[in-house]
Amino acid sequence: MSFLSLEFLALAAAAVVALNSLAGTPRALAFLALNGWFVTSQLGRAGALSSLAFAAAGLALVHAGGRWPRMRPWGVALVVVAFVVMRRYTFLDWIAPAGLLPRGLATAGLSFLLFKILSAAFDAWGQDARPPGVLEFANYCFNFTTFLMGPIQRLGDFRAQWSGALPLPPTFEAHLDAFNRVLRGLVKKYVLGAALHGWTLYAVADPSALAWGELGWRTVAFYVYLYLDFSGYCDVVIGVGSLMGVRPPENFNLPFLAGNVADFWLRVHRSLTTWLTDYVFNPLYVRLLRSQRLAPLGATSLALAVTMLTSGLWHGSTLSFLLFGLVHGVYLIAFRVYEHVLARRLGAKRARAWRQSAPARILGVALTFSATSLAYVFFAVDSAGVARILHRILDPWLGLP
Amino acid sequence: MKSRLALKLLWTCALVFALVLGARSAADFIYRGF
Repeated sequence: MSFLSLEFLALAAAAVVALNSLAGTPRALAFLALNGWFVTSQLGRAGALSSLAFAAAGLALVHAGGRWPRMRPWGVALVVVAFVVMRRYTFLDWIAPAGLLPRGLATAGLSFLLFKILSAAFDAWGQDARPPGVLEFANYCFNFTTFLMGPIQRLGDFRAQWSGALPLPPTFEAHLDAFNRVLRGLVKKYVLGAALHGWTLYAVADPSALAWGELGWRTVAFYVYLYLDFSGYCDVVIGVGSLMGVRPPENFNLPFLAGNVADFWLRVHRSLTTWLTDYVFNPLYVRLLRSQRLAPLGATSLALAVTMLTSGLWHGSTLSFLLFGLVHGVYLIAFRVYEHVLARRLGAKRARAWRQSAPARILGVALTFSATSLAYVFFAVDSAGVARILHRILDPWLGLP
Repeated sequence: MKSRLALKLLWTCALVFALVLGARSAADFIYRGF
């Protein structure tokens, strides 16, 4: 279902009317029916059913983990293994006979569904929040504005807005702003992004065979294209969600202006970054510090490496995405080491003054833009292509066969 | 207040215009969609 289709227009209009005019269980049932329509149109009946089974397992995890705390790690492990099998990670083919692995299960939206389920479970267990009921959980998981590509909304945020904390003031201007947000997203995705598509890495059959110059400019175009496509998508769903009364969280904030790679991750896919910070980086960092085996910089580096590898694995099921996470882990560790060395050499006050100076800012933005553009190559080139590019880079130095 | 609203409505028209013309010329999305 394209955003530029009568079907989506009808779905969005029906959701805005239903959520603003109904109340209680009828409102929840109407929203569930609309979400079911969207998910079935995207995944087909079998795909929708497999996603439904996965969400049911998630709801069972939330409730069983609340009742039996000792079972939590096992429950989380089971859900993650189910995700890995459904998502068909390529490494599964190395360890399991092909006939054993199920085929034709839904993969679209599954990564987002996994992170929604896990955050709902962790929040219900850790913050003593009320566990969700079946209808609430189903609408949270299959909310058509966040199902396919995020943003990753937390259950608490969804629940607060669903039960009355409206995201928009009741004025014509606020509604016009939300409507314009939808239009802006459509223009970004279908006009600007579509026009740029032919200039990106997606438009060539084998990016690893390109001359260095063309690989460079196509990589930058690819980064801009990904931004327009994904942030345009987010603008549409945030606008529609605002009009409905359940707005997804903000996800982008001009990433091209990021002054360093840590800043970049707060400006790109922010809902994923905050998820990974809350549920992977922070707990691991605290545990490593408490173990007293590592200094703070070592603990930060190890926690960053694990977090970014998790991010890479979450983004896709092939080796290329693992490399994407690895490269960003290296970037972030290098940035933390640079900050550490800078503070030790110059002292905190002079280091801060240098970071705020115009040359440091310009250099930071240029370096961050180049480094983050480069990492997006892994989104368009498979692992064999990456190996070919590395071979071309290293060949003049090492004389590889 | 009124002039701000008028500007926003003008922006709406510009976006619709860009979408209809741009999406058609760039990738034929309007025809495919509708």
